[in-house]
Amino acid sequence: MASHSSQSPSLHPLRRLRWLGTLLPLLLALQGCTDRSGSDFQWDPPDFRVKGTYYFQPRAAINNFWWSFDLGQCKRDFTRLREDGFNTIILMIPWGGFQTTVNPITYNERSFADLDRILNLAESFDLKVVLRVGSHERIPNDAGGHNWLAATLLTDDEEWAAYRDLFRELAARTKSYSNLLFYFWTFEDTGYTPDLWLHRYQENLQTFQEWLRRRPLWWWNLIWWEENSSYEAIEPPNQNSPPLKPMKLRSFLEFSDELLASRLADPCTAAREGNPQAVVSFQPRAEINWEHDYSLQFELPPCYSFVTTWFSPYQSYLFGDKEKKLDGARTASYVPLHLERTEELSGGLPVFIDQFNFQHFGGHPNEGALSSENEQLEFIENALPTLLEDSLGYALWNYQDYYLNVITNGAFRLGLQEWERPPGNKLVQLKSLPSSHQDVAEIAPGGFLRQSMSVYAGKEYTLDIQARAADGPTRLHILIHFLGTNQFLDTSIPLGPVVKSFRLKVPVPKNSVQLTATFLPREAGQAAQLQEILFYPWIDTGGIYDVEDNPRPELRDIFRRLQGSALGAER
Amino acid sequence: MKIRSIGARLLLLALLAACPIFAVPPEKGDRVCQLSSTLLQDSSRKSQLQLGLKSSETQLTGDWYPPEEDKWRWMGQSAGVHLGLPGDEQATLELEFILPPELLSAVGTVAITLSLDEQFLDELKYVEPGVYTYRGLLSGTQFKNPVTCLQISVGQTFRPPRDKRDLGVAVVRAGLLSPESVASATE
Repeated sequence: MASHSSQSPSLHPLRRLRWLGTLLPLLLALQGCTDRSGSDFQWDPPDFRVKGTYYFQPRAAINNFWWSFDLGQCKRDFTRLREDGFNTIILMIPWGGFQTTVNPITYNERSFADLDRILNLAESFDLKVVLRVGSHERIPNDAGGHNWLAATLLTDDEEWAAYRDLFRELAARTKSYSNLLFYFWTFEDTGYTPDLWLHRYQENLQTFQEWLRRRPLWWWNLIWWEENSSYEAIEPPNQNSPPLKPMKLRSFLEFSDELLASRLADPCTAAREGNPQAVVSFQPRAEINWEHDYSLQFELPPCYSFVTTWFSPYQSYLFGDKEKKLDGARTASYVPLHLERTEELSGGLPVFIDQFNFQHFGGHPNEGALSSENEQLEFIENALPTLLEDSLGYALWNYQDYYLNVITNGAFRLGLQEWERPPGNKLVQLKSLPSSHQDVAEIAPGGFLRQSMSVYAGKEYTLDIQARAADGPTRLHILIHFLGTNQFLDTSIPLGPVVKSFRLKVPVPKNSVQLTATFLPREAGQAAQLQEILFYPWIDTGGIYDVEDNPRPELRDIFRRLQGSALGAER
Repeated sequence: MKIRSIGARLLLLALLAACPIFAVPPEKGDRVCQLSSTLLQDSSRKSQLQLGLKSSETQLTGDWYPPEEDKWRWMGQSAGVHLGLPGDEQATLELEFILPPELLSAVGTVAITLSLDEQFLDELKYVEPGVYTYRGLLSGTQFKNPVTCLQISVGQTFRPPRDKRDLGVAVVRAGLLSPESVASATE
């Protein structure tokens, strides 16, 4: 067990050396400064700028895109993107969505085939494509952690080797696409904010304790104000658990940064193995936490062509502005500073902004934000010309709002993965419908399909389901248990021979953040066939179009005006 | 013995039907939802009821016990609720009930059968105690009158210690709702 600092700090034997705790990290930071020459990367032609957006669909958002997207919707969207002056889409390539297992390494051919379809379609609309590789919304079945948290990727050599191989495989398979601009990956998908969760995984703790051995134990005791008797006794810091120890958290972030930096070269080298012409970028963490600026993450190996970052209004704090209600024009003035900062930290690399956010979704409730829609317009009006002039381009987080679907593999494109079901394979079977080229899950009476999912407490969700009776008429029960409560919701829908769509409202109680949904036909009835299930709250992500496809006219018009609707002879 | 006249045959059949030995005994609760023709047309009946309120009694029929704590009311083996239609042809049946741990311990699986106007609607089976909200999507053709009768029957009742009642489930509310407020179906 680690021994924490005494309740009475004045009794600490090393109290006279406390000043070292603040001075030494500063000296170390200075020592870490490097002179890097930068890169001369530019687009061909040099005046090309990426005017892009992450691409999702209203009913096929982040974690379900590859299992729910509709190609017809792609065509409509791509037409409109061109009309609005966009020339590029960013596609997320979820690690587990394309690489099913890490040992042995296996790939999901269906996902690659779907990627081919979208790349070809984008090409036919003269749209460029950027791939964000190895995102964490789905991780391989045998990787540590869970979806949205690749917990042991950086500490487990086997996982890392597989992750690295995804870049090689992807680059090799996509090298013939002339509209594929570049690949990038991000700190976010390989660990996000390690001070929040890294302590929960034993292998990470061991690596941390090993890392600490670079300095004598007394050093760590000194700067953390602790009295650990051995390295093994050191507990990892936990940002969620008081008392917070900023110095220890900072040490932990330094460790995490070094871990990430030690892996930085691999994805780029691997992509070049797959395609020697591949252009690769990386997105470091553009924040300051516990007085730590993550500068090590910006020092990219020479293989990388440029650095990728994002800008959200809340990042005004990086420039000393800690207002909660932000002014559009003033916030826009931080954009050139942000570009300069990123360029400096990366030793002069050109900068691409993968998320130009005028509205930040999912942030901390107390973080700064533009105070009104007018301020958003003011911000875009003033910031976008800077990006067009001084960066390699930008993308929006989203073009159209979406429903955040929390059910995984709801269209059964991954078979019955993610679904709990009774043992044996007789009661639940996967069947292909030749008429629709779609897989359906057939549940016989006595069988069930169940999935557990995280939800926002107190929020109303919608459950959309397409289903029919396999033989005679029956009823399908959808039994939802709000975990942590004694509340159940049992919705029963009548099924006939024709596929029908049902829409159910599901109010989540205020004291529940997790639920299980069980789908089962009436016990004494007939089998039910489930075709597609979506379960979502609507998210206002600040898209140029809302989730019902209606434009937000002022927003759309400003992008049309600043981007221009004709692209001319770009690249 | 030969019975030759039609009148004698009819008389014998009538006697047999009246005799308790030959009559088919009605299953318990089968007649819970028998409505008079006047009631069937009584569109003033509420479409949603809080069973814990005494005022709900005018729309109840069958095995019900007095309300408790203004929140719920225990039913026995079989009980009915008369509900007015919410105004359009489509409706969703909503039923909230409590399955206390003592009930589950006593009967294992709770089996509930629901009927509307004496037509089987659904069968529910639960193995965990809790507060359940059941929503059943109905098609408009199931309603023939402005008032419909929901019959709730349980497979097994239980008798708690020091209680003389045979209890089915504790019902909190029952109602017919406009489908768009909770659930809907499209082709």
